[in-house]
Amino acid sequence: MSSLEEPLGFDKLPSMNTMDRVQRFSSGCCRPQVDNLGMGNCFIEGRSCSTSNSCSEDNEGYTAETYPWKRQTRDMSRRDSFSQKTTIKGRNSMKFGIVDNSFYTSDYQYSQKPNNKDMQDMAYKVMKGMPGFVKIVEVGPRDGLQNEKNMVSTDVKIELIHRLASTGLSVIEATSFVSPKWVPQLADAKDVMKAVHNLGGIRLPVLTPNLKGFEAAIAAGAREVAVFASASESFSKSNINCSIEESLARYRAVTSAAKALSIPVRGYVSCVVGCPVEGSVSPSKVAYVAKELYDMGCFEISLGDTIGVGTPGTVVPMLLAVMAVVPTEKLAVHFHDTYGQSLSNILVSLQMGISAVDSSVAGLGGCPYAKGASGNVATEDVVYMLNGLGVKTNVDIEKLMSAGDFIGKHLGRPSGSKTAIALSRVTADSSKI
Amino acid sequence: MHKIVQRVRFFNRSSLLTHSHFDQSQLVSAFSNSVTMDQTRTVQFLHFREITNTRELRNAFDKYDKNVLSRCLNWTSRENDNHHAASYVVNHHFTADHNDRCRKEFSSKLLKNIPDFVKIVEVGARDGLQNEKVIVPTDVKTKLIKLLVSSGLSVVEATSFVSPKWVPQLADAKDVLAAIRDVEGASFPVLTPNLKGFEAAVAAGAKEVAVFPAASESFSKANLNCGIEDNLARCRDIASASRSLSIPVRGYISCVVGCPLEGKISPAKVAYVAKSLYEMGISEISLGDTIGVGTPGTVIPMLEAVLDVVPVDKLAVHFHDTYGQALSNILISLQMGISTVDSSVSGLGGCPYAKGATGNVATEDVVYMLNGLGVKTNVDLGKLMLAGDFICKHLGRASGSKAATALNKVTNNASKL
Repeated sequence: MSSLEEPLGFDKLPSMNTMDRVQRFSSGCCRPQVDNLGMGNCFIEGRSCSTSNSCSEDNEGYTAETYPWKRQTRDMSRRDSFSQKTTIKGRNSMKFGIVDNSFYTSDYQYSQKPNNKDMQDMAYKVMKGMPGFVKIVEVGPRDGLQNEKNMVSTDVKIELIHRLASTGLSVIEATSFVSPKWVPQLADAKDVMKAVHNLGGIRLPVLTPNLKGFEAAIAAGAREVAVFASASESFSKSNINCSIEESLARYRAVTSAAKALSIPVRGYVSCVVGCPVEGSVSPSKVAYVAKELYDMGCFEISLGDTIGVGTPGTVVPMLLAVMAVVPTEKLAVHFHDTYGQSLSNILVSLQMGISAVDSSVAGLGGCPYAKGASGNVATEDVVYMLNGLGVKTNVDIEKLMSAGDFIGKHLGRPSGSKTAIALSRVTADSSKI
Repeated sequence: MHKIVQRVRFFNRSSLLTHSHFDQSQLVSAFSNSVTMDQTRTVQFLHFREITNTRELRNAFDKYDKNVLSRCLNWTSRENDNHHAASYVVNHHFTADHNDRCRKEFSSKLLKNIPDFVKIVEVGARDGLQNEKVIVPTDVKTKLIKLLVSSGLSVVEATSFVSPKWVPQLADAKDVLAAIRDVEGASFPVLTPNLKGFEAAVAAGAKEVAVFPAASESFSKANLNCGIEDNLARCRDIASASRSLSIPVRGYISCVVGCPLEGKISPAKVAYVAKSLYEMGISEISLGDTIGVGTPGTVIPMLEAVLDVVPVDKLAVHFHDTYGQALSNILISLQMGISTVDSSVSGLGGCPYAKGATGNVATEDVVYMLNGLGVKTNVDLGKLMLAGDFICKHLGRASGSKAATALNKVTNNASKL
């Protein structure tokens, strides 16, 4: 029987039906510890098996299945058990002819002829740190909408949050209790919060720049808050009118008040790679601010590339510096796609073991420093990549696209997500090249 | 154009860190005065924590003694180890021989295998323009090609000798080639689907050609009206004809990850086609994700399969950005050692399978990332943007490159959050 990994002779090409089947390796389940390959530290957080239904479906036929990148021995006997399952798992089932994201999800068909050990090592090296599950923090309703010129009505905001809640997202940043003088778009924070704070199973953090904002947030029903410091002194002064140290002092007040009420606090660090005023930002500064936020009690620190100038060349050293002082599982990345770099930055962050990613549905939210340029990375694009990597997110991309459609229609704009655009327009016609 | 403000940060020689953070205001120039402020690149250093032997380290830094530095600093960040966590990335030649050593030595394992130099194959003038509905005049095409060459691109795909019935946009192939005959500093491959096209190309002065089989049987039949094997046979004809004329032949493989008809494509198929091309003497094989559905999860197995049968220096990657995945796929390919990337200025060229969706990845975005990685390309981003501006003005469209858009619009004002 010809091995699937032998170059196929023309007469041995599988029929089209077989080609339609997609093999899917499960991710996130029953992964053995990889500790004998001398590859250095895996920044892998402890992973527990996902209890989602899809996980158990995946596992049929893969009883001792390991996360593909972590295979230590290329198991020849697995060859026969390449189960030719269809992928439809209840999500992403689109009719044929429309490109189904899950069609192309990762099925890591590794080579079973280990005649090129270096190649395997290389592939292994770049993928081994990848987490099995990534939490997506949706910032569209806050970070996405806050810079919109035209006021978005409270109803629309509430509807957006409801739609996002139905996609499987577990964390949705709802609004911000900053002064309406600075961010008029979010002046209705109280009303939005009152309407959504009871949404079950979803965490709805809100931004609180100081104790006053914190108290207003609590009064409106918030059960999680967020604070935001800058790694760049000039940016801090020009944006929140105080130095980094002063802002940290304010946040210490917020975090102690929050601790007293058992309210979790998320910390954002902005300008982690570059600052519109200072230029490049030293990783040690970022590490300092991150550590301060962590020490004061923030349960998670989101590292934000505010102007989107980061590339893996600058992101990696920054992450190394921060990971030296804050545990990896407490970190999240918040990249902006202003220069189109966010997905590759996210990828490299995942390779380093980061497992929380901030993004915004339909790429809502421009860059305040480059008028007309894009800002947040689109959640659909991130989910597409994570699906392709075999990383679980629990997010239904179809439902996500419909939430994006909803807000896009309201704002009168096409989606900022390439995935959403492609998935809504693909046809099966093959036109001539 | 926006000037990216550059700062060079150095460690203060006299007060190396003993604390866990470090005050930037104490930084002074530590290295030789040959550091130049290059406006397009940045230099960054990381901090050192709890240096145990500051004098030794300081001396090592002064002399740039990499052996001592490696010993003093534990480059591998271990979570349980509080001693040292440091690496640095240099995006800029502060001295010519430091750059490469630095990146190799001190960069994280994730970035270590990335090649020092990446060749960009610019396909905007052919792959980019061929799907445009409105015919672009020959002189505009010629000027575009000249602007691209002046930005430092060394390979610019000029046109295609396919039947004008199928691709009316490129009916002026002969004229374009004639117009760029005297342009130096770059090679201009042209597409040739069959021997007839090849002969027309050679007659028109082409010095490099390209062939394009598919890894998907159905796609091959639907697009090229012949199956994979027939197509490979045509390629063999062209390869032998060109060998006798010493004309290099580039090979494109389409649908290397997914096919609009068949869905997933087996890496073995791609490897088969790649191996066939390699054995017939094709000089470079460009692996094309035609519908842009690839992600590292599918790209890695495909590359592994191909790398089993074709040496890495013969390979190039041609990702489409239809789902926004191109740059991450390019990054992963670089991590696997690929050192040639196809891209299209301003992201010209849509996806014929998803009307209105994007196609080629934008050269400016790729160059931006490569610059950030410290990888040489010899491409001047500013001049590249001029070429992009030119063609976008002509087409009456906004650029498809986010980096170009941002660089054109960024202001130095820090507005309120």
